[in-house]
Amino acid sequence: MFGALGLTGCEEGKPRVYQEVAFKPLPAPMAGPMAGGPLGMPSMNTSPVDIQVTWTLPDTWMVKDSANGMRIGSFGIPDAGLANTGELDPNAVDVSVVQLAGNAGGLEANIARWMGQVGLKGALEDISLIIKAAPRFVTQTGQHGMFVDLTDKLSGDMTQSKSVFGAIIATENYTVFVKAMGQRSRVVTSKAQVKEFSKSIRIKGPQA
Amino acid sequence: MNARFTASLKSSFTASYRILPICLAFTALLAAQTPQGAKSGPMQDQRFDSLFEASHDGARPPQGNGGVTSEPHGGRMPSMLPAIGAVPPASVKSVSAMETVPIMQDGRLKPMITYARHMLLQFSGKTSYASQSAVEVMAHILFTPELTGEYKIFLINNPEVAEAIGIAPEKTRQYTFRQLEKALPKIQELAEKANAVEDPKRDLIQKEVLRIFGNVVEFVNLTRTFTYALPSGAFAVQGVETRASLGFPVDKTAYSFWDLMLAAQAIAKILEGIGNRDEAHRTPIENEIIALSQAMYFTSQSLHPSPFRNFPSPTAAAGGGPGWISPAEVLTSPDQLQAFRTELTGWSDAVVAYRKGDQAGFDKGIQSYLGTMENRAYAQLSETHFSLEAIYQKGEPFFWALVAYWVALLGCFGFFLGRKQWMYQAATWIFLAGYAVHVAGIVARILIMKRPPVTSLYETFPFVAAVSILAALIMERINVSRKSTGQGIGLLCASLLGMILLSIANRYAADGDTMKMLVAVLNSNFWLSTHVVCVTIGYSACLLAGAIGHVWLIRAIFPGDASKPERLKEIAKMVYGTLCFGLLFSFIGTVLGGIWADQSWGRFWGWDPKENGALLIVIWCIILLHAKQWGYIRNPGLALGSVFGAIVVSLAWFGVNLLNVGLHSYGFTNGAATKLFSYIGGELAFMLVTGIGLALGWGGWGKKPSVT
Amino acid sequence: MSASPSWRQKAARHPVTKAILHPAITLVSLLILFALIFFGTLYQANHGLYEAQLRFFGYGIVPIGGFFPLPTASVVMWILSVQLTLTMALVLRWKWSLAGLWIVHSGIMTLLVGGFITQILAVESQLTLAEGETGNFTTAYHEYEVAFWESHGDTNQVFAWEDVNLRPGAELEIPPYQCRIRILNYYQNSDAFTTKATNGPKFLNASNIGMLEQRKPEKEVTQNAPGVTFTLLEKGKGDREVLLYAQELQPLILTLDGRKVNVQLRLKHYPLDFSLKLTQFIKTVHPGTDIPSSFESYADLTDQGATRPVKIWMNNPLRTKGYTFFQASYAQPAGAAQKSTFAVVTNPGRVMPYISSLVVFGGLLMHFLIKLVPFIRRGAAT
Repeated sequence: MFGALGLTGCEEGKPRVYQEVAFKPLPAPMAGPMAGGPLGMPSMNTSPVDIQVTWTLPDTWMVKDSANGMRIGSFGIPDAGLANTGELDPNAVDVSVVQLAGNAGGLEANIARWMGQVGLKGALEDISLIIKAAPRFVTQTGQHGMFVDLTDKLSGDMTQSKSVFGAIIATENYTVFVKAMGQRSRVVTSKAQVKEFSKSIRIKGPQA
Repeated sequence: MNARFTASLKSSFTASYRILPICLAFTALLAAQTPQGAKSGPMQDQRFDSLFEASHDGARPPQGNGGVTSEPHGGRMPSMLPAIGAVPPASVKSVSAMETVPIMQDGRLKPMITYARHMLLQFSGKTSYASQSAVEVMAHILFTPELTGEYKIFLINNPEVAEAIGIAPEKTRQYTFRQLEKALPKIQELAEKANAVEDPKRDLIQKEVLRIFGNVVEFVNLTRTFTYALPSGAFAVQGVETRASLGFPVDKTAYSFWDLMLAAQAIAKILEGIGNRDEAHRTPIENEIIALSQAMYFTSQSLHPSPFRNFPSPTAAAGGGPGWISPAEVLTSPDQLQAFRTELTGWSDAVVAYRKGDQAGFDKGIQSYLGTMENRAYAQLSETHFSLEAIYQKGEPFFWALVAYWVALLGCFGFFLGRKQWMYQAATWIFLAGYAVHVAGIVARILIMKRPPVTSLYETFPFVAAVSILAALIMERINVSRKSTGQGIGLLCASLLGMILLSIANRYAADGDTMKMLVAVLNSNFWLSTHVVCVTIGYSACLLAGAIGHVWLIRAIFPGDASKPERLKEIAKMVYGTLCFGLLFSFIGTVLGGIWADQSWGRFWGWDPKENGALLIVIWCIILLHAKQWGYIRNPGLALGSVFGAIVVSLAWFGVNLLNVGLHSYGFTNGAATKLFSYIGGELAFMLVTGIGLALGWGGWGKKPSVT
Repeated sequence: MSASPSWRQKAARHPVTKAILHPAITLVSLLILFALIFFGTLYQANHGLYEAQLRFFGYGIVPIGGFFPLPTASVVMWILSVQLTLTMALVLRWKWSLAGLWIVHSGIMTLLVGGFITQILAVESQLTLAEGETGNFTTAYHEYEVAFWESHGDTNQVFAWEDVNLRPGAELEIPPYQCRIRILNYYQNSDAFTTKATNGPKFLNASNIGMLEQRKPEKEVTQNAPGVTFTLLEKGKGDREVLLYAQELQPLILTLDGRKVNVQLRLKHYPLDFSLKLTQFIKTVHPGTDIPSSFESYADLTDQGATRPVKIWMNNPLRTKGYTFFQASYAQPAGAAQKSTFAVVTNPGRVMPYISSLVVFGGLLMHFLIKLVPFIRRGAAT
């Protein structure tokens, strides 16, 4: 209906002026309500906002300076023997902190993504079981979160040895993800530290 | 522990309608006797020990009988194969009844003979072992797994890999399962590491380790296919009264999971009758039945899906058509268990008969399975050509064609040396016989797969061979009818190309089943039969031109009789004509590829490496033909150029596939790349030597300027 | 047909024509083309198709192996096209025995013209829909635009500047909102950080991004994440610094000329004058494997108020109003609707290769038969 009205092709130095019908994406499937703190719908008001995410870092963790993409924090958990020696541990568990607007596509989609990263195939039922079983916690600043533990899930692929332990924290307009990924055994031994770290997260700001 | 056990019983026993009553009764029993149930009686403990034996993967204590105990790891390696009993099982003479048993593998229903051959190929690189056919070996793996531990059927190509996993390398490069089993922890560790590397970046060793690991896993799963039918210590029924109460023969102790399954109703009845009575108040029969049902539960838990998928499953329907599943999977679903009772019993009977050496019983069991199953999967099976496929598999047409080409090649050389017509005649007829078999093989594949002759890299070899041979034969025919001096050249080139290309094909076939299913975009018979066939015909012609070019160059640099200049002229004409033919088909094939791409993805040309490869052939043909036409090159240049054209074809044909792997990753370690580069190197050296030879006037070249 | 007009002969004998049509030029051009395709293919394996195309197949000069300069493929193609045109116009004789060659070379002309039309006019874009979603526009693969829009009910009135215009220092007018933007930086590929650069400005951004940092372009051009920073200049208002990052899912909302305006750096949109609603996506696999045997999308096509169901599947695209929709990709996210991706192409030159290939094939066949038949006859006669 509103076809290529003012479409001017791809000439340099000229702007394009056109009309389009607004795209209405399907509402992302909502995850089962989290006890105490359901994840918010994607924030409609996306004027410039400001939240601050801070945390207390366990002293054995390495800070990786190359925070890439949307990571607001990037760390490595080295082997206990290598901690604070300055030596690099190539098998260090990789911890990332990512903050995304809204519910970031839904809890299930995000867990499915994590599962995919470590070669797990998750049916919807599996994921809802994981969500149901996930222990809940409250951050220093009162936001609700849950721990997602994939370390006891074995993939059909016998040689896949990677696993994930993570936390998902929901605020009114944001979702903060903490993800620790690495060799299964190492992730398992790092669980306690990741839990401690996730609980230490403080989210402040007008939109928090 | 008890509550958990009960819960898991509940959930898992519901898997089988037959076990269901046993389960419920048993659960009720356990629930009623919480304190006592926690500690199990002495009989049960024994059962568990022997159970682990039955399910193969438990920690079986070493037998200590001084026989084949494994030394490393403190001699406490549990074997994944069952132990050989006091009386080793026999086998039947002929397993031909099994040859057409349908197996679903890689999305295709194939007869047992194809499946067995490809499994054995995948394991050992060969299609037979110690004068046993692949089907016979497969029968041993399936029915008497305990005897196959010493079969040298695992190929480790690279001695370094054998060393890396802690096995002393052997000259034959073939190893037994027992050897690999000892090294399994190491293999698994290395395989895990190799798997962490992206496929294109894996080196040869890593690929080999993954291949071996995959083979071991597949082998173990195969040995467990008929666990349900193998008599096991876990299901030995000791009490004579117990046997009677289950309707079993009084004088037999050894039974299988399936035997008990068939008596499930009797077992359930006894379990129900126990009620709330604790152990002290139960009869010995009741205690044994409890132990047996527990053993059944654990076995049902440890049944592994096997790659041997021979049951059509209406519930495992995947992607529209019914899926096929292995016996273990059938046993986990109540409906299937009921539906497939006849077939399962047929197999069970066959297994028992096989182990007794009872040929008639074995055949009858298989027939009973086949009869019922063929009715059930009639629609699917009527689409197959199992008997044709069995002939194709046993006949090995490409191998015999290869043999014929070798003989014809020798005949050709004989003819060139002696110029005896009878030799030419003999070579021609042997060649034609081989060619008939060769073409029959291609036709059989078309019929079996119901698709055009070229759908995979493997299939390009026999097809390109067939087409270039045809072109060479036509040329030979023309030459003979023109009474040209070039008699025999076409036949020589045909035998050479046939021999080389079919050798490559036979090497390729060692990778497994060459009849694979196609990904969606290739699933178009129209485009496959036009584009792919045209391009490969183009390859064929350019290769043939290259082959004739070789002949020209070799003849030119060696001295000859008076007719030599005339002969060379004739040969050069053949090169030119074949190149024209090659240009025609390469061009049209390339353009058809573009049209296919336009139809499928909306872009005619995408500078894809494969497209570029085809384009390179086209451009090279154009360059050669124009340069010759305009007088920039003469016959020597044309011959050299046609040899270079063969290099271009080899690059477009396989070089591109290596490129997809990533240029820096394969280096010179990859076998295929090394071979390709040595081929190219060899050809370039050949061009250099003959070029220099011509320049220096070897064989009288250049002294007779009339030869242009 | 037999008599050649004299102007043709004269022109053909002219030294300039002779120089241009020197066969050596043709052969060298073909050899260069051969080398370009060979090295371009190798280059592509390491650097991706986009880079290789720019470097080897565009216009200019490419150093082979770092030092040996060769003209690029488009240049060579032009040389060959000119030669071919002149040859056909002036040199090639009109003889029945050359009829095959005439046909072949006119076919090749058609092919070159078709290629040129495609290069200039074809537009490739894509459309991804989840089951139940309706699409009214397609998006580019890797060309971006800074779009300003206001929503009026269902309709967005969009004003956009394409990425080619986003050069640092450029000032671009935004007439609908009476303002201008001055580009600070445009990154073809970049990383986003929540921290602010130490002495950089405080940017307005919808996702709390504080700064961008340039990255090396990815091998696959579609994987680049561009970003742009600019100063918004509005009369009577202080300058505002804006940062837009292509990975952001939501637009920045600014007040411009007293109105709420959405601003986003996004893949170029191409509006369609019809709409397509994906009703169902079906993927089937060969039983017992992960090898897909087919992908099928069922959709409703609504044009001028009339709706009809369409099916788009592998090798069977939907062709309508100059657009062609191909089944290109799919996604089956856990717990969400399945998605289907179509490649959408408009190409006025798309029939040219079909025609030219038929012509060339016919011509080659004819020529070879003309040559081959006497060859065989001559032989048989002797």
